Amino acid sequence: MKNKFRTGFVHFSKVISPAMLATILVGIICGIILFIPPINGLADSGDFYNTLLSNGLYRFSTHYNQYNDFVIKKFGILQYYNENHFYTVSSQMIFVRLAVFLNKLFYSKTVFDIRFMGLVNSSFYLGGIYLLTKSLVTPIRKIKNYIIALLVVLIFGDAAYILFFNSFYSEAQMLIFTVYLFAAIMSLARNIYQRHWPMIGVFFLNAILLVTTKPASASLTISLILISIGLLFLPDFKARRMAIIFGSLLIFMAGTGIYLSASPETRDANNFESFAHGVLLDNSDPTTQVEKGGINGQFALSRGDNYYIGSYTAIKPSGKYVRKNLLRKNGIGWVTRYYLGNPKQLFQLLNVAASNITSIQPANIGNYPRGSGHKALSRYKYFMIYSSMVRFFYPGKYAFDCLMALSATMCYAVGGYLDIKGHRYHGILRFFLVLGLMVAVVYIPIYTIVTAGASDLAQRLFMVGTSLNLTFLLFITDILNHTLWHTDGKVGDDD
Amino acid sequence: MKKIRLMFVAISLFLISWFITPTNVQASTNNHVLLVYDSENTATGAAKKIDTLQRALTSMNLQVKTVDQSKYKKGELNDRYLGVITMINWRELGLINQKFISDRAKFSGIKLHIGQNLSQSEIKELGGSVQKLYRQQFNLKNNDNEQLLPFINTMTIVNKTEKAQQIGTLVTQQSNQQNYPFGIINEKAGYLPFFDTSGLSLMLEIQLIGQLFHRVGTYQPLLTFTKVTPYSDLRMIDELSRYCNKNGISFAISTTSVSQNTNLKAFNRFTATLRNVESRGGIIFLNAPEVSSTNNSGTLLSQQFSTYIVTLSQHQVFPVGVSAEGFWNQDQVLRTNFLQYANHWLMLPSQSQPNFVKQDNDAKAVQESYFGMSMSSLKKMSNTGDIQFSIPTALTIPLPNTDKDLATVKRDLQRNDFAWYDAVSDGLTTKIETPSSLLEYKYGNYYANGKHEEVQISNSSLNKQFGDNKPKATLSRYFKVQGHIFMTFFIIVTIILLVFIYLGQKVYWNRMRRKK
Repeated sequence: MKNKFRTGFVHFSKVISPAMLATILVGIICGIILFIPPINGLADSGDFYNTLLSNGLYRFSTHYNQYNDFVIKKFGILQYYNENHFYTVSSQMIFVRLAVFLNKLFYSKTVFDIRFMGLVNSSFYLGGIYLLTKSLVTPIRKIKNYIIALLVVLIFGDAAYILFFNSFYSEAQMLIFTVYLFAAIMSLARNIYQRHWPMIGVFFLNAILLVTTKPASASLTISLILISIGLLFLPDFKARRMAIIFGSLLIFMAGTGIYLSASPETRDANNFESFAHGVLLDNSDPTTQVEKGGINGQFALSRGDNYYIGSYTAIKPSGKYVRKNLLRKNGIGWVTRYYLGNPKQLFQLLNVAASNITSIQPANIGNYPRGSGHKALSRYKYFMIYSSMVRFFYPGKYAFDCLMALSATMCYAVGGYLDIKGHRYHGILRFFLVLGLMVAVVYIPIYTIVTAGASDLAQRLFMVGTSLNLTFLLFITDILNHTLWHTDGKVGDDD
Repeated sequence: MKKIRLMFVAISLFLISWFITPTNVQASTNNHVLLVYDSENTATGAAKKIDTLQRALTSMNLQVKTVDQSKYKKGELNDRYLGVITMINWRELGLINQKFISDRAKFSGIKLHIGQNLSQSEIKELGGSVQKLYRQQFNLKNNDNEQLLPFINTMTIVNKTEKAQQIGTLVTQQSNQQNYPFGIINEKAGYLPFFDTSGLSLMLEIQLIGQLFHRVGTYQPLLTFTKVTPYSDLRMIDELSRYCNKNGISFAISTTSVSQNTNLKAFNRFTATLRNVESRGGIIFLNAPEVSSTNNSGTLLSQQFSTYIVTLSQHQVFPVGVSAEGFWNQDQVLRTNFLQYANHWLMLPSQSQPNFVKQDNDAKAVQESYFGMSMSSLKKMSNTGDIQFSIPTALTIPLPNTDKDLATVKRDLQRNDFAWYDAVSDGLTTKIETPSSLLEYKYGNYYANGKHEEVQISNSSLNKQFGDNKPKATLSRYFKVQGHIFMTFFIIVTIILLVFIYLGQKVYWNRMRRKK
């Protein structure tokens, strides 16, 4: 019996590699979620507007509310000149334009079907999953390698991620780019390919695309530059170190560029939210606290208000009065100074943020289209073992995130240190990768609270959860491969 | 047989009632006016003109239904209407809807024509002769008042006949100074060569419309500070109200309110300032909130209105009426869920792009509606001393934001010698009625749900009045201690971990050395 199983497995492993297995399984999940009716995806919380505008798409007018409740399947394609052609520039445009092109080619020149977005996203994603799994298991095809492949499917084939693909949220692209660049670094570290430069290219390309997904992604610049430092330790690479430094410089420039490209309106909106959903979220009365900072204490009344007013309000946040008396005063400098004076409030908010890290599937957003027999705002419930487990067990405390980050960094620092001593580069690349991801885990919540308050946390902290997931995957892989401390594969390799 | 007889009686009763009801409706709706315009010509700011005209009519207690000529349906203008107003905003287009033109010719009620393109039948009704004037500038004169008008390219003037009544005179700039009539009323027909939204021309336009529709009166203007919100600089409101009180100027404030965060100190301060306004003789109009461009419902608006009224009156702030931009009266949802709770309105000029929720252009009238007009718009006139206000008018001044602006406002108030409307001595009685509460104002006294309310005067220094009485949670100390214990625990664990890492690393080194 045991022998039968073994020969069966040998046959299986000859036909299907772990990377192939993971890709096929994720592909099946994508197919079921995104393409088999009733299709699933994410409804619009109001974020689609910019993307639609700058990609020549528009919403059909309807008699019902198009926000939050249901996934919208069809959009219109502008037939004439689009004056908002470059209203915002981002790497997301590449994906959307490609989807629109395919849509025009195969479906319609006037109506855009959201499934083409799902198709483009999931095709790129499957490539990423293949590279990711390959970078973690190649060249061995033992059972434990297949377990790693299944773990990849469990974590990154989770519906919480896949649902993003049938939408215009830029998180879909962020996920894809992150998977690629992670795979690139691990492929280099584990010497999967003979030549280094293709994967270095993949890394820099995806890093630049990642920081340019939206203005808020600019905050990832630091992490990505940290990760690219690891590349400097690659052997026989002295001549091309300049290239690496140049690449890092490009990432930096892309980050600054996208940050500056944010329209004044977006900046005002963030400024307002950081005030109304951050500074004012004090348990006691914020009136006098705000006044101490030189802002009219009456603005405390805007606690919990949104920049884009949803209904009826006493004053328009986008109006002249608020701009002059609040938004011109409460820049990042002001907010930082405020939190330095009120650290307790900052930590309260960071804990609020931390409790949102695990909710990758945005709350209060429907996953089903209208007419599919599901109620408004109903959520997709399958293929969510991993995300629901994490949501259940992971403690939502910022201090815990910091401890996790610290222990992961220290853990991989040991491998890195040993590899510096041993003149290897696996552990060094891996260390800088983990360092970069963990810096993001610690830094992004603070950045978010200061720049945009506690609004839209699930989306703004998307990269924190993803970084933790990737690190967790790496950790398990290293334990299974016995490469956590020693990367040469000899010490402790008892298989 | 009995049954048949009963049925016959029932049917005849029904038929009689059928015939009677329409006459009843007609009797009660004799304040309806139909306003038909040719186009909302954006180049000439026609939307603003229409808005101003609509508000003026509302202040005359007329219910105006506004129709674009392209949407006019045959038979719409009928005996139900007291009068019809034709407004030409785009001379080159003019009236092209023949159904309206023929309906209007048949109509026997009051007719007012504003602008060019008079039809032959209209000219006949106005007295018989017109003349066209080209490329000139005029002085508009009425009694002692005078205002220089902007240069015009073409203008049609109706010559005054003996029985016709003239309102205002246009005087040419040339040395021979020719005079032409500005507005003309000939029995049931009226004419205005243009419609201006400010200054003396507006005053005369209003006077003409008032006389034509027999709604003319004499009113004292109500001084109103607008653009007040809970977010305003409260010191400015306090200063202004004190200044007005000291100088015997009665005034009103039009302010928005908030429906959330009313437990904050900021709201207490805001209401304390408004209480000071009340105790200094000022009256308060609750201003309409900003309307968002998406997701609006009438229920939400009426809920918010109730919340405003309840929270304000809990703090002894009692609005006497509501204020809103003109377009609120042209929108079914905004009107029924906000304006119509009060019987005193203050209608302010609409912004350039109003956010309608359900536009119906079917304005309603109310017991009294103040026509909002900025005080600065009167500055063009040479002599403001004896301006006649023929409708209830609110002269508005936006709340200043800086000390410099405040000084300017005070100076302006000093210079003007209007006899301001005084709510107490002029016997203002108003009512705001929501399903849950009733606020009344009678001769300077406030009544909430029928009970007389005394408004307590707040301290002059607002900041000292409200102490920082933070609610202290009983368990907060416990959690604080718990937090400290956890912190120490984690520090100890980290130290032990570091020691272990150090030791473990040493062990590994030793192992590797042996291998070598």
